[in-house]
Amino acid sequence: MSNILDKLLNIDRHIIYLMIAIVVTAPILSPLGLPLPVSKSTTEVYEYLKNLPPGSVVLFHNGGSEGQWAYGAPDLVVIGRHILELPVKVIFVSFHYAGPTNTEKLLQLIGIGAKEYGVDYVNLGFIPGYPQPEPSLAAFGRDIHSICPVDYYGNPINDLPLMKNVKTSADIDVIIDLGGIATGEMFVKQWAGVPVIGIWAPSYTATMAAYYEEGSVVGILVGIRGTAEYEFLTKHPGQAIVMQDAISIYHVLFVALLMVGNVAFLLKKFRRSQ
Amino acid sequence: MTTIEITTSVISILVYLSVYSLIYKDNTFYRFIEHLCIGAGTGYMVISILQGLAKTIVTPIQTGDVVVYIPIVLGLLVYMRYFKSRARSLYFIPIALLTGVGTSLSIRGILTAQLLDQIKATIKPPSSFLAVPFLNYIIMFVGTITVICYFFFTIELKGPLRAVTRTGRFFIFTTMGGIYGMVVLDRATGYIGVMTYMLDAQRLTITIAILSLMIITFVIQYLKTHRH
Repeated sequence: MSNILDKLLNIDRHIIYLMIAIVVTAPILSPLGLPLPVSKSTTEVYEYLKNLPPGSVVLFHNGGSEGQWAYGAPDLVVIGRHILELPVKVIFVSFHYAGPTNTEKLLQLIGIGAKEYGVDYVNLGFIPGYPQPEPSLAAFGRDIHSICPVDYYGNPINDLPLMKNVKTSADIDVIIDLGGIATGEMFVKQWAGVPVIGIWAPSYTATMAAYYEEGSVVGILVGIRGTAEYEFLTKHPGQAIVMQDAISIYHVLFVALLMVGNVAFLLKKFRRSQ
Repeated sequence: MTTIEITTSVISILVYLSVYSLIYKDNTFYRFIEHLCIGAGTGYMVISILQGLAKTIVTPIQTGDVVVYIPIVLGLLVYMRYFKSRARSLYFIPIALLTGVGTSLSIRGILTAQLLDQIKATIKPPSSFLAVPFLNYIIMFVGTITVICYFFFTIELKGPLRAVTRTGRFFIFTTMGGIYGMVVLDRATGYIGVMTYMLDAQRLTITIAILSLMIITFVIQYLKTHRH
């Protein structure tokens, strides 16, 4: 018995890697179609964006890094597609140097439909300040035109019809913050009063939960799970739904491994105390 | 798939599998890709930052904005740290300015977003008196009070108050555990995303081919090493 417990407590990490590879590969090759209930925070994002009055100005901050497209950027695609389908004005901007290129790729992938550049949407490109963009983010909110005199393509933003009435953060109706440079908290702090929608990784969501409870953050898409729910709500099934089965099975394995480890540890402790 | 898509897939899958080959052991594939990624990433970052600087510096200069010369001079002063003469101390000016601006900006935001609004949210009555929202409210309220007590060092908390700090510690550990679990989920998402990409019906053949080539290389290397 003691021998078995020792073996359970010292499983070779290569065996755990192999187990993970197997449980992840199986549902990708043969999807299980597990149920996907839509969470409250995802529904809030969908409803908030859907109910925006026509002509509202949305600031879409893409803070994704070079690796954002490593597996198709499903979060960027689903929210980008939905926001461009709505009758709102979209300002794309990034405080991460890789953001503008990723945004360009998004626009090429999903197509802009009947939207007209400069009137319905603009891409302001990269605002320097990375990796600590809080000062430039605050300054950008106070005077957009002086911090960003030209757009990503070099056009003076004064010449763009959409930007004529957008001078400060007060002219923005909602911020969509996507990506991994922790700008969500900076927007809440420096652009006080402008609602924030977060498309965040689960670990960053834990940090931002307090702002969600308090109301500064009006909705969050939590990781790939939130993205899959959003794909379901917007009726655009994509990469996230494909990944969801694998993630669920991965969690089951992880919880099982945790339980085995803890039970073995407690049993060993119990046997020693006898 | 077009030729470009096939080429992109081959390179991507080679990079993914080479990085994951570190699980087996440190090897040539991994080291090559590690250097490649660092080089390519740095190059990409430098170009993007130069483009950003061109937009925020060159364009205003072209339009006659003289104010932009101030941050340029301040930026150049940062490099004075590489001088050994007394001029080196000039480097403290931009650093002091950046520290001051950074701190004041943080304080400005903290007061409202991290203090007043959080207090308001904590003392706000529960949204409904149904079991789950009310239980959440109680957990949040008790958690906030006990965690604050845990960091109260002015006097030693003894007797029944010790139970309060212990409860606070329990909440801290629970939160840490939750955040750690979320980080594990982040990493899993990346891994599963990559697996989804590689196991896609269009790329499965490429994945199997590259994986087979890598395994053959490892076997040959192993045989060569253990021959003597």
